[in-house]
Amino acid sequence: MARWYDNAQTIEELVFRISEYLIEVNGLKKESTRVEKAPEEYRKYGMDYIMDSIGILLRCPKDIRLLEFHIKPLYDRLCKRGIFPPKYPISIGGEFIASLPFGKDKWIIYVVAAILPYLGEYLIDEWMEHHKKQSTYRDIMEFKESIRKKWLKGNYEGNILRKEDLEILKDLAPDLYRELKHGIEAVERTNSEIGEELVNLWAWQIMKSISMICILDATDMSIEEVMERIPKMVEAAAMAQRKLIEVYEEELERKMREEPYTKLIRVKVDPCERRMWGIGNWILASW
Amino acid sequence: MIGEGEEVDLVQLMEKLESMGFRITYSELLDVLKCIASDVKVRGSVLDVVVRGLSARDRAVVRELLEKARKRGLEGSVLELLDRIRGRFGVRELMIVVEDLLRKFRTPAVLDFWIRAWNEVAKGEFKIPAYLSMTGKFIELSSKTAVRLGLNRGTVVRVEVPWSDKCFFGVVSTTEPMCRISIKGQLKNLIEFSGLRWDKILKEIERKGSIAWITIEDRGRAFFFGRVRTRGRLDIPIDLVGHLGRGEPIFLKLSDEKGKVIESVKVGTERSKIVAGREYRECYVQFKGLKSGLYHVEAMNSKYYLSSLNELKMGFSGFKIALRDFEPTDPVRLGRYTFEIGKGVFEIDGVSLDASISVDVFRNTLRGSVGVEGGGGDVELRMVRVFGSEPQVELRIKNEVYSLARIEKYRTSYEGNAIDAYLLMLERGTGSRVRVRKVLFTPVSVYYQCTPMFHHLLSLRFPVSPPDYRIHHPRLIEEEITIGDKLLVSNVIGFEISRRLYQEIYYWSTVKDKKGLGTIGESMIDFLKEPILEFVSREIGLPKEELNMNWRGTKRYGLKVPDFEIYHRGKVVAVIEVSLGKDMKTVLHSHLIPEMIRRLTHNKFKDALGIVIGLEYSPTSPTLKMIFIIRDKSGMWMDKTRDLYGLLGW
Repeated sequence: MARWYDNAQTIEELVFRISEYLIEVNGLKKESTRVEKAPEEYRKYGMDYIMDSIGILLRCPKDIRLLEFHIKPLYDRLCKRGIFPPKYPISIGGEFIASLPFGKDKWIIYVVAAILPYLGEYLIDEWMEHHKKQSTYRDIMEFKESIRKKWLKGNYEGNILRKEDLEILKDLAPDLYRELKHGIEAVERTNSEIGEELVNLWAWQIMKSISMICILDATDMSIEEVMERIPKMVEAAAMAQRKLIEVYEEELERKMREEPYTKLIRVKVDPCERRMWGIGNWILASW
Repeated sequence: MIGEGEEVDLVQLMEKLESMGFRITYSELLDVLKCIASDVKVRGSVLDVVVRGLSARDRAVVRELLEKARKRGLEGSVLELLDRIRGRFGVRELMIVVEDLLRKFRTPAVLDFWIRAWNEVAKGEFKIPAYLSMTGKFIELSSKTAVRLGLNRGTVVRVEVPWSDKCFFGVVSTTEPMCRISIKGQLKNLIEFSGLRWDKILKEIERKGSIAWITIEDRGRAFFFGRVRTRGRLDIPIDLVGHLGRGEPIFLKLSDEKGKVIESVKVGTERSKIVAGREYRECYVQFKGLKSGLYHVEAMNSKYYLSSLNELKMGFSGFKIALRDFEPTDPVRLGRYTFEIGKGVFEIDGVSLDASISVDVFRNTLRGSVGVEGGGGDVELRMVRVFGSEPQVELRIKNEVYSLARIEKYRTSYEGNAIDAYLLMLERGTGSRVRVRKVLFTPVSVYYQCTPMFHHLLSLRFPVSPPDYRIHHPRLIEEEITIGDKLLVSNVIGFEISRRLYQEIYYWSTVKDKKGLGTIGESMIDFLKEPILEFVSREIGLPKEELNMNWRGTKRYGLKVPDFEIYHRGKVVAVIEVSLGKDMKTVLHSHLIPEMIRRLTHNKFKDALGIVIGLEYSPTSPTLKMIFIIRDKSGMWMDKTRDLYGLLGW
């Protein structure tokens, strides 16, 4: 059986088929839709190809383990066409990862629902604000290392975050704790509705972000097998986005009801102007 | 839990209780155990419990004392005393008592008296019973006890006498052969203050014994009896000047004989005068309008006062406004009458900001001030407390003071988060006109009514059209920053940013939006693409035109990509991580550098040059600082800020 990462051709075929699928499910397919070299404005962001309103980053060096691809809607084009957000505002990627909880040397395909970026900066700001109340950790480095040890036990390159892993943040990083708890809540609601643990929060050794993603271990899969799984993953990731918004909205409504205030200001930011769509500190789409 | 019929090791149990912060005597513990289980069996005698934790030498001293007591038939009362002392205090205090009593055995006639005196100590805080001279001029105690207690010549102690609840200070004048504490005229003043007479005191001494209690006074605090003379002049005993701090503000709490308390903050005036050819130093403070007479005074320096101050609070239209979390610092003179004495937190209903704490010795006030953004350094929001009255909130604009008139709470919801801000309206009446000024109190800063941030936060939307990310007027600033224990940065690049970008940084940090703030740092570096490519080209010896810089960024690409990658013919030759924060050193040391080291171990980047760029914004101006450091293939970190500056083309 030919695996999807066997050679440059198979990889390219899978990437273009996924791109086509993403165009289709978002209702963007036209007769003229075809793969083109990315114009300069997108090359700046590492994109090599575009397919209508989809951008494709594809790095396929000789050392196949350095392969990476990422497919995402070109939101600026969708904004211009007045169709933001699309039905599935998600991105899809694939790469080789040396160690994960489900094994070593894995080829994965992932669908991104949301990202909580700037984790390092977030932890520093929270530490500055709250560290005076505690005596457990000497400095931010020790605090960060304890988090890394807890979250990435087994020294995996990435690991799934569970509710109990967040306790370490409760006193020293309460804002981050709240946002990750909302993330876990959204993930739990999604998985229970789908009836399968598809979406998870992932922490990485490079503690730059937390990803709400749906990962597929595609190590032994052919192109067809991957393509069979993609729709369910895309559906799950989009649902997780909706659940995440739902969790934040519920909390906000509760807060508005419970605590008194004189005036309420609802700040509305047009994602198309800001080039970013998010909830809390989570990014759902960014360009 | 202790079950019926079980045997309990009292020494172990006592140690456990002590480690949990409980202090209890042997006899009290037995009573408790009997309440829990009536037939409980215990192991360990009262002596075992008393000598727990003592060295072999100290145990021998205790045994020697008990042996002497036994010979005089006092073993029971001494053991009972030691149990009480050990049950309340630590090993050090126990040994002070034991050694003191041993010495008292040399004059057995007074033994009973000292055992009673030490029994009094066991009832409250630890203090030393000492001999009060019948002249009332000094107190004496054994110099060995003094050494144990840590008394030296000049040490300020607190003195208590059995017939008054007021204490005063004493100063150790000699330590050999006996430790003598001079109480100068303080005892005489106490007698006058309390309306007593010396002959009555002598009767009291006959009845209760010639005794005084001493403890080492806390650094920065002292009690004394002081006389207010004409024009409200209160003399500060010269012996206390060094103890309280010379030339520093002193917080004074004066009580008159009727119990009325007057609080104030003053700075002492020190001068010398020559009387009969001898030079005397004196120190005094002036209380305008204060009745002459004798007062009991508690004097504290600013460090002691702030550490003992819990919070200053006031209510206004249902809002709780407070100054709290005081952190004293060495006093710094700001003006003729003002001193900065520490830091604190200014809080309105849970939203708090750092404040500086100062005193004004002329206006007799303590205040916490927060600088107001947009006031050009001339506007401050303050909570002011004039001693003897309730705190007030005011806005100071140059020399004008506006009083708080109204507060409104605003809740701003933004992308699922809610931020509380308080609109404070403050007014000042001039003739028939009332002028109103508004400030917005947010979790990040206080904004003045004329600032764009004030309006952005109170309006429905923020103008999100892209700001100008370009940097202006870069300059090299000499500034030494050590990062970790190996890297020394000797220069930073300082530059200006557009007003609009400055506002954006403040907006995102106010609404605590990390994604907004993070994007700004990356966008600014994207505008420095040319000099960075030039630098990398020189560093690795490849033509600049063959290099490509891709802006990746986690927010765009998900898992764990770096902020920027520089490619040469499809191969990553350099990788860049950027961070914009309030404290560049922390960001570099605890985040960017360790994460870059980790990233460079990855296969994809193992031959790449690691570049980290720290950007620091200032809370007071649109001026930013930048550090540019690299990690080469040999694993060495090098500061290349100066090199990048040379390529900026200015």
